[in-house]
Amino acid sequence: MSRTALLAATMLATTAVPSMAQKPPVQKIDGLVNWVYDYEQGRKLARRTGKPMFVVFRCER
Amino acid sequence: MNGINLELFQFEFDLTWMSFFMDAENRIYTRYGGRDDSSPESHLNRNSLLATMRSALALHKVQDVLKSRLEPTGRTVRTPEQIPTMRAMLAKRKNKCIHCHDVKVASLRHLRNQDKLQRHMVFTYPTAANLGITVSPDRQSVIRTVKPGTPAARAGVRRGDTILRAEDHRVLTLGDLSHVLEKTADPGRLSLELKRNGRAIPVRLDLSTGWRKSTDPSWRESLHVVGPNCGLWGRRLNANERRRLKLAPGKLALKVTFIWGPHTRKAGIRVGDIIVRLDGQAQDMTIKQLNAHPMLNKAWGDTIPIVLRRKGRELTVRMTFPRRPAD
Repeated sequence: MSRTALLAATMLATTAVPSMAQKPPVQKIDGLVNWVYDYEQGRKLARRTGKPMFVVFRCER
Repeated sequence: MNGINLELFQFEFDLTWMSFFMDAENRIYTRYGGRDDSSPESHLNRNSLLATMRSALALHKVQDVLKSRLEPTGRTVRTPEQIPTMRAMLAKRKNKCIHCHDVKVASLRHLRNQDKLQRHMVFTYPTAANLGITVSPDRQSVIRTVKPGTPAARAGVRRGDTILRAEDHRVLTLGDLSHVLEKTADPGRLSLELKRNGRAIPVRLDLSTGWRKSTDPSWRESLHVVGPNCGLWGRRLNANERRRLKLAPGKLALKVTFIWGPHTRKAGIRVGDIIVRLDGQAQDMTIKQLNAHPMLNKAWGDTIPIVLRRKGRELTVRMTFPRRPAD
C-alpha cells in the first residue's frame, strides 16, 4: 500500500492543558509516518488532497 | 482527549488504542480497534489493519461512508472538558492531559453525583463475545467460533459465517460491530445479515437482560467508579513460591506489594502478606481481578473477610470499605 494514500492524524491523549481553553502541547511520535496532530488541520489537508483520514487515539498509561 | 468532539468520536474509552477511517466531512468509513477481556491487543494486528486500510481506500474511492441511523453526525460539539466532573479531576493532576479512560471515569462520576449510576453502566462497547461468538483477529467480520447456548447459537449463527451488517450498519471490523452493540438495548434484539456459502442470510438475536456484561472486566480502568476496591497492589506467587509455602496451584495466592487504602491498613493488612481468600473467593486471580471483585459485587461501607498467610501462619482479617468514594 502506498504510504501516502492515507492521511494520518493522531490524537495523543497524554499531553497537558493548563486551562480548559488551551490545547495541550503535542508529543510527537517517531517513525516514517508524517502524523498530523490537529484534527481540523487534518480535515483541511484531506479536503485539499482528496485523501481519506486515518484518525488514531492512543493513550500511554 | 483534550478538546475532542465526543459526539463524533465515540468509542470504548477504557481502551488504549482506537482508530477511525474518515473523509474530510466527518463521515466514517470504518472503525478499527476494540478488545475483548483477554488482552488490550486481542484484535489489533498487522494483517487486519492492512486489510482495513485497503477497504477504507476502496470505500473512499466511491465515497461509501457509513450512513446508518447509528452513525454520529458530528454537527453538535461536546468535549470532555464539558463533563462537569472533569474539571475537578484535572485540578488534582499535575499533567493536565485528559486520557481516554478519563472521559468514561468522569462520565460515570457525573452519573454517580446525580444518583443515576448503576453498576452495569461500566460495561460499555460490548464485543462479539457478548453474543456468544469469536471473530477472527485477522478477518474480523468472519466468525471463528459459536458457543452453544448463546444468543448467536440460538439464532443459527455458524462458524465461518461472515457478518455483513448489524442493524443495517456495515461491519468490517470488531470496532464496527462494537459500535452497533453499544447502541443495542439491554435486554434487546440484534439483526445480523450474514454471508454463508455466497448467500445473504438474515438472523435475529434475542439478547436477554445482562447481555452486555462480560466475564472478566478487570482491565477496565473505570471500574473503580462503580464500587470499592481493596486499596492494595500485589503480585501472584510463582510456582516455586507456592511450593515452598504449600499453596496449591490454581488457588488464590497474591503477595501484597503496596498499600494505598486507609481502610486496608485499618484492616491490619501489611506489605508482604499473602492473600489466599477474599470474601469467600479462593480461585487464582490477578491483582486486577482481586480488586474488581468488590468493585463489581460490594457496596461502599460493606465489610468482607480476607484470609492471609503471614510468616507461615494463617489469619483472617475483616476489611470495611469506605462509606463513600474518596473523590
